[in-house]
Amino acid sequence: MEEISLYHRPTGGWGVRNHVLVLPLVASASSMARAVARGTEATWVEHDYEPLHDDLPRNHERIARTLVGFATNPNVAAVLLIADTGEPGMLLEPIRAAGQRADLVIVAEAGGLRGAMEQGRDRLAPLLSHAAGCCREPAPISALMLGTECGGSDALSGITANPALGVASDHLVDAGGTVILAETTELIGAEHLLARRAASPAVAEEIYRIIHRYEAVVKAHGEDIRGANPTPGNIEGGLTTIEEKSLGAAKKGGSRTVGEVVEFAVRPSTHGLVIMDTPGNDIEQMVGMVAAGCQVAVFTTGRGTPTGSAIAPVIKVATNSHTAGRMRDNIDLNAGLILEGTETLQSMGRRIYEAILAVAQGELTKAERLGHREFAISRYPFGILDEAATVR
Amino acid sequence: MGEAVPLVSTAPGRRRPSGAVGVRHHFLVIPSVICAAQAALTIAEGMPDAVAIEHQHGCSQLGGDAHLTELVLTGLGTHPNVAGTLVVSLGCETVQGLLLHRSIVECGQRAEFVGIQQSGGTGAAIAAGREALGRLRGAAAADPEARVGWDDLRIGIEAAWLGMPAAQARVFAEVTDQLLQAGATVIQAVREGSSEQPAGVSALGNPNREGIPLAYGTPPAGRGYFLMAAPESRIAQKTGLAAAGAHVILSPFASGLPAGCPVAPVVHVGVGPYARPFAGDVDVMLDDTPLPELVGAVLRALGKACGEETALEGMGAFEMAIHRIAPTM
Amino acid sequence: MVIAVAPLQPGTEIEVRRGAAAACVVVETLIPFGHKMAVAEIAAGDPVIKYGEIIGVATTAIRPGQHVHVHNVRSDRAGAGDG
Repeated sequence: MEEISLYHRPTGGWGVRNHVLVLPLVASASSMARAVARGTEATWVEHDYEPLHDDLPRNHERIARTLVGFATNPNVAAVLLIADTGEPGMLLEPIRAAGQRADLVIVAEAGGLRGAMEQGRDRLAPLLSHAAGCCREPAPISALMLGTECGGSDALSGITANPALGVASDHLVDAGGTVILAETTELIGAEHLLARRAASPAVAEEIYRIIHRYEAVVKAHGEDIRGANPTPGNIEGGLTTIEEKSLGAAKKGGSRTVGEVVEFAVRPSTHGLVIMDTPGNDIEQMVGMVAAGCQVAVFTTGRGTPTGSAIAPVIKVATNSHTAGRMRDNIDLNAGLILEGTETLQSMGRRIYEAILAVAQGELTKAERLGHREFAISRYPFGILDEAATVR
Repeated sequence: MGEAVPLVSTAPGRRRPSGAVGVRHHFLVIPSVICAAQAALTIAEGMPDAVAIEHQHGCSQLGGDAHLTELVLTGLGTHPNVAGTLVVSLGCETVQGLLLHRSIVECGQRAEFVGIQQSGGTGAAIAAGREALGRLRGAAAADPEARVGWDDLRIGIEAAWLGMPAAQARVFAEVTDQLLQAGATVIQAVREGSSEQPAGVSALGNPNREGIPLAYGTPPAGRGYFLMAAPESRIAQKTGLAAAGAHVILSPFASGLPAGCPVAPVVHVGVGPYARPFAGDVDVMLDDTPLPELVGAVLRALGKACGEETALEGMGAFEMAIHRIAPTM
Repeated sequence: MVIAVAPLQPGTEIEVRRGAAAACVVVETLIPFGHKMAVAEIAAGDPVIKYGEIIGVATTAIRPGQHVHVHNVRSDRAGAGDG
């Protein structure tokens, strides 16, 4: 069995990167995270989550799960949490309990902004030293969990890049790894196809449930799902209906059995192909997959989108040579070669798979070179349905 | 309560083509979607007068949210503190970057547009963006200096003081009174669904005792005292007040962390006991000092913010968010 | 249906092969890159097929050579506004 070089973590996971992450636990701490991390080797993210008095418990739980998962992703060697008060700072405990090296700055207790900045730098230093001492070891390919995503889709997404990614997904699943297929809204119209490949009737039922749930929530808001999907850019690119988009999107997951359906940012309990319920929003989806443990992602794009992730390498695959050329600053691989006849679906899929392994072992993606660190908090979307259910 | 505190600004403002006076001379770089945010940040990096806005909205917004995002981004882009605006678009998003650029131009603001996909990737977009900023800077140099008086200003006030005990709330009520008497327009954020209303504002000189209702993020049509509907989120309140044209924002600080706003300086008034550790970060700390002196200190801090960079602006510590109505799809 | 991998100008003749049979279709309107063109008659109300699956319903009759897109195809998923 082929082995690759990864970082082994006390949490038991394997990392493809060795980041020290400065993570704000609430929106107001984002600027402090930036101030502490900037100019050091640490990376950071920013977001807009404000715990509010009328916050749904399920929202709080979803976000806490996301932050804890992100902080304990095996690509993270150590994490410095920034909180405004002690309450959000309580997340330190589950993060440490998972075996992650972590520390915390509570700004209100650190003597205001300036005091907190100093304390942050002081607490960051030992985390950076710790990371410097980590090194790669031989690891099985089955340690890899791949996030799959598509954004800026066009009519070719389902013909070139997504099926090629599907071939790569199959390779990884066959090697014992895990592949996550997500973006529930962009699977609307493809659920029967996926349910056909479910490992059990229970899994098939879950597939229908999560997809119908998203349709219901959009309807409950009095909106037409077609209002947001396909987007104007999708339409300009040739996608006509949401079914066309979804059937193309579903191809990213390849052809293997769907072993499990998980909620947003929940770590799969099984290897193989897994479906995760996430919004179609590119950034939230990536965050959900990374929070669940994905160390690397492949992101197909028709029109070209530059986004990445602060802690996980995102490999960009263009659907067509036009975009691959235009956006060459941002694109890693060109599946448009399939149309030109220089690659087949199989050979392109193999190239993607090999890129996944190379990137996992240290090769930087374009998004990493450009410093992309997009991060967005995903809020619990189904409150409106829960309310309706309790009224009945 | 004695004479109104005269506005003492250490620097003149700038008069914009629209006729409004601004107390900052920022060049705003607005990504129309989150996927364009990194490019916007890089364009603004290293350019001290350029400010990039970060928000978390993407292409999966439902109708109401997409409209709100456009409203707020237009408000920020056309703010009198902003000398020129660069819209950075990805290309495939719901809030079309070109439409945003156009609505900003239609309001009389000087604006430029860069599309990442149209330019051919991040590198080309960043180069084009920096060139565009240079053009905006050149054009804005012609904005003449102007004396700033209270009657030129809209002061935004966050909602946090509305639920406070009288001893603390009265400072803000009195500040509001004095501002209105001096001719300033005051926009008071009021939390939606909340029964808390500004109390103790005698509104002398303001024919509308109760305050005119104002929709979120919408510039008021005239002068006076306005009550702007806002969510509980303090970030969203700042953003809404700025989008409504507040030149300076007054933040009663009793929770979270001191935070600025990319478009308008924020003056923090610390309310104990929570704010005590932040004594070095706030502009005024409420304590046992007699009311008139506290009120004077707040007014002086507002005036000072018009002419000088606040400590927070110096630290680059600002935040913003566009309040989201529906879940993202 | 076919997908244009280069923009197709009106008047261009396209040879469409299905198995051993071949047919000639004349492009009626400009088909942009990545967009779909009908190569057989599609009646109003007929399902529109891609990837071997239904991607929508024709809202009007579509002739070979015509652009197949949002102006003559609608989603089969009920929206809040539709019945």
